[in-house]
Formats: sequence, C-alpha cells, structure tokens
Amino acid sequence: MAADTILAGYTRPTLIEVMAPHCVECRAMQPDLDAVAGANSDTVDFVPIDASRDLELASALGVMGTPTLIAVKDGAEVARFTGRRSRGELEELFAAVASGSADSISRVGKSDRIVWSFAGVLLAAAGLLMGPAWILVVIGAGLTAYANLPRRHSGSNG
Amino acid sequence: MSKITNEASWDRIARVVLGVALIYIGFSSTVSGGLGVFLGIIGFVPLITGLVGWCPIYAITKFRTGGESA
Repeated sequence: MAADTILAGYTRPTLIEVMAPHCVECRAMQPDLDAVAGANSDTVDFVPIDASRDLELASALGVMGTPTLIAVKDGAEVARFTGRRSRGELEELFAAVASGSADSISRVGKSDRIVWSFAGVLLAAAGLLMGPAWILVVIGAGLTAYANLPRRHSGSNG
Repeated sequence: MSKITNEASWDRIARVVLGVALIYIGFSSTVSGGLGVFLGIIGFVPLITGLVGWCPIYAITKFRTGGESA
C-alpha cells in the first residue's frame, strides 16, 4: 500500500509516531509523548505505530529509523522528524500540527538550533576576519541556515 | 537516528567558542609555523564535540555536564 493511500484516511490534524519497543530513544521519549498527546487529544489525533509488529506499514510510510514522527494535514504528510525530541519540542510540535503549521518547525531541536546558529555565526565571523577565508564563511553560513530553515516536506514517500 | 548527548548547553557553547578561537589563532597567522597549524587542527575537536553535544572522553569516564541520556 502506498503512503499516500494510508495517510489519506487521516483528515484531522494527526501526528503519527513510528516506534519500536527495543528502541531506547523511543522508550525515553514515550512518557513525554503520551503526556503531550493526551493534553492535545482534542485538537490532534495521535497514532502510535509499533514498527516491530507492523513492519509493512512502517516500511510503506518510508520510515528509516525510530522514533519517527510524521505530521499529517488533510490526509497528506507535511513534515517528518526522526530522533528523540524533548518535552518542550513535542509541545511545540503538537501546537504546530494543531494549527496546520508543522512544516514551519525547524529540522533540528531547540538546543541544537541555538548551538549550531551560534557556531555558524562565529565561524563566519572568524572567516571574514581571516583574510577572508571563504571556506569558513560558507561553512558558518550553511550551518546557521541549516539550523534555522524550516523543515519542508520534500514530497511523496513512495 | 538516535541522539544521546552528555554535554550541557553552556558546555557546548564553551567548546564552540574555544574551537573557533583555536581555528582563528591557528589559521590567521597569529601563531606562525607548525604550532599554528597544530592549534588550528586541534580547534576542530572542541568545535565538533560542541556541535554534536557528545564528548567521547566524558563517555569513557562516565562524566557528564548535562544533555539527554538513553
């Protein structure tokens, strides 16, 4: 079954979690995820999928690792995040899914965003002072851009 | 993708500052010769461990300043 067909059934704002019981990061995030999902149950449908039991479904959704969170709007994927997210980031994500703006969430977590942005600016500044050393300027600018550009979904997942 | 970190935010920022400072000192002719190149190359160590948020020495010694454990 194609991902588009599976997701078409989710007409309300939905967050799909693909997890696995043996996944350490999934287990670590689960209490926070359950709590945030419970608090937002009236605005966002939360759909946990156990990849170890439903490998075919996880595979059809194009999931390459766990935990993966897939934001769905009007039956189509708008954003996808792989890896553990903090409580604050999950709250931010649920709020974005509820308001239909999940595609504007940054691709990296909050702490990484701050550190990478800072490092990028610092590297670019050092590069400019060194001659300029354009390689450092480019790396710095790229790092800052990567940390701050919103996570746009690139299309269908096959 | 799993992400386990063992550095607090202040630790990461400090490493980034140290790393960029060493790279600057090393490659801007502030320190000339082999020592300069050495400092410049060594600067990438704190920079990368700061960006990643995980320090292998902390991991070996089971020390941590913060971050998220598994």
